[in-house]
Amino acid sequence: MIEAIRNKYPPKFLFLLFLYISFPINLWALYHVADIFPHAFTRTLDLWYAFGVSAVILTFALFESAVVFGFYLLVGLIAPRRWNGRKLLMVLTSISLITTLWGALAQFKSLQRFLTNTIHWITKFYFHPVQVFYLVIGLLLLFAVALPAGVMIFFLTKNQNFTNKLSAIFQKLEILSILYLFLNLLGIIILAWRNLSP
Amino acid sequence: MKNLNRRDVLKLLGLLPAAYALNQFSNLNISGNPSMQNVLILVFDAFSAHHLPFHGYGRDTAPNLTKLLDKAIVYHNHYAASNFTTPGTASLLTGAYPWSHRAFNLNSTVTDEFENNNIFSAFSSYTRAAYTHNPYAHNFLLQFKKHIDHLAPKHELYLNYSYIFDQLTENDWDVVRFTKRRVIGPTPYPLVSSLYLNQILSHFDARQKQTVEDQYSDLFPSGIPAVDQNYYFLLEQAIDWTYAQLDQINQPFLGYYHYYPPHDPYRTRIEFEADFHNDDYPLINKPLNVFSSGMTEDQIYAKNTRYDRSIRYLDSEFYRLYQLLESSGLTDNTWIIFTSDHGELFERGMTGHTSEFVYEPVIKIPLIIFEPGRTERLDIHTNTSATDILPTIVKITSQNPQAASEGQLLPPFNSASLDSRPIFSIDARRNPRNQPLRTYSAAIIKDRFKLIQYAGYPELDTGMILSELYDLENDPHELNNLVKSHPQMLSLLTQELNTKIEEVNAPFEK
Repeated sequence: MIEAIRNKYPPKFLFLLFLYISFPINLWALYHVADIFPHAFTRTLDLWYAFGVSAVILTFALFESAVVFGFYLLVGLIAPRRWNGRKLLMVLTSISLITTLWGALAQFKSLQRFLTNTIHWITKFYFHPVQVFYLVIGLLLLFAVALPAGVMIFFLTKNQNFTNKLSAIFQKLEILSILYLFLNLLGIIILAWRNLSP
Repeated sequence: MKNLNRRDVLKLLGLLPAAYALNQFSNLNISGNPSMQNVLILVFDAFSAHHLPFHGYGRDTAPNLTKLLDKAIVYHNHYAASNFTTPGTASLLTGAYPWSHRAFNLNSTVTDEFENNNIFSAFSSYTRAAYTHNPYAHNFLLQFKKHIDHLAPKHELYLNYSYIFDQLTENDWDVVRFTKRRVIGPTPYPLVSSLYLNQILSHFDARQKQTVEDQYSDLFPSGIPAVDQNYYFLLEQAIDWTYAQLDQINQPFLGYYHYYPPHDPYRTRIEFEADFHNDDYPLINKPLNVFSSGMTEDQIYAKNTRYDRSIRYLDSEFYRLYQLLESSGLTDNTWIIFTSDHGELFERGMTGHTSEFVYEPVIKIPLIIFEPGRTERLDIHTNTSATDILPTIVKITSQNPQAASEGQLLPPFNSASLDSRPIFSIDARRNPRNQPLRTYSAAIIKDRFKLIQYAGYPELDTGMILSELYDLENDPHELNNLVKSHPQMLSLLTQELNTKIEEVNAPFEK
């Protein structure tokens, strides 16, 4: 498996894919850091404690980025050979962006309520609840992930101009993403310092 | 056999005194030598003296403990130095008030001065063992760990814990616990920071808890005892573990064991589930104040009853430990100190110990000393403080006195009268630790009077200090505020408290 990944992806590709995948995850984590930091400080009146809390969120964001990155590396292995290079990078990044977006949206209670109500509504038509559950999951995956991803892939493969524009946007985010990566590492250092110091 | 000559007989006669001395030494009873006696401190978290029948409570919450009092010293007016774990435990372990050790914010630790000036450092010639279920108390054990020979991690006696979140981050339990809810949930916040793994990890946590629940739900139908609602434990297991450790470690020992019950969530074993059900025990209706949260009387009554049932549970388990110690002979040469870090309150629209209140139920705690060789009960009614325990056990076991202790030798070990001494209890959780005390609730108890001062809170008008004065002898439930009818006493106690606050604030004033 490692050999397959090594053959398929050059080091720069891996680095950029990680940067792009971790960007929205870190952005979401930083929103939570900004939100929780004052609560953590008010709770204990200890700034170092609030930094510790932030460090846990940032470290977890790095861990989660690594897991998602690993998953998309595997997805990339089954992609057509002609998508190698920048195109594959754009495809994988686009799909990861769509799933990340849904990961965030799915947390909103109103959306969860809508889905629950939908399931209840469908069960009125005498379907078995488990069938309805899989039906809804299937529809969700289709409309929320597969269709947008399909559209993205279509444009990325057919429209060079679109690929270039998307690539340019991602390049602009690289610096920010590197900064986030630096914050992740700072989080690990803070956490290690707090827990390894006597 | 060679015949003994006169010189040999004289030589043997010369050895007689040495033989006599040796014989005396071998007969020496270890329990008679104070410096060889063990000290065992048993802390039951959030245990209010107001819920004990021998302190006047109307429910028989502690029948077993009551039986044991026939050979104990019972302190009837013993006060914690604060109203929650962090400062309360710190004062017990350092003999200093919160304004000195500065551990008065949630999750804080004591100042560096106390790292080598605490109960464990005082017993340097002893084997020192410690354990606590309570993570906030565990912070201090970690801080003093170089003086503790046997320190078990808190999760040693948890039935469920996460390797990554709890074991790898031993120093940072509260940080990780506080953040974990925000990262993976379940959370009171609508959103969590994890976008992909939150469902998987929270499901894993829930499954781990479910496994423990399935195992013990018959014994604890209303829920297994838990720290922070999440980490299950059994007091039975903790008691067995404590006894096994005490039985193995070298003597003399100092043992500090800080158990979680009867702390919230007030869970109890099946045989106590029905206790006090419909017993019509009256809950006294007390006046609200600015910090009351507005819980209904029914809610308070229900929690109060659950708390009493959890005291029955700990009473039964403490009795079992006492019997184990007695059967092994350890009670013959061990001072057993039974106490708490702070109390618990069920009144004025509030329950628990998370408010700014310093009313009697949340600061008055049990103190029972089982002295080796004592055969009759001794009742002490003098006001005493948790800060007194350290200097007392140091003195009675002839250990090194700790310079920073603000406590006094407890009666009956102190020949001087402590009747006119002021006792303090202070909550300054909303005051930064490196700044002078400006936002606090403080109680000063002197003779039969108690003054409560609330200062610096945004809930009060700017610059306003709210004072309440009670006569504890005639009004033990603090129902009648005497601020207007006893201006002289109010002035006297206010002056004494303010002088003390000014004195402790001096090093922190710019």
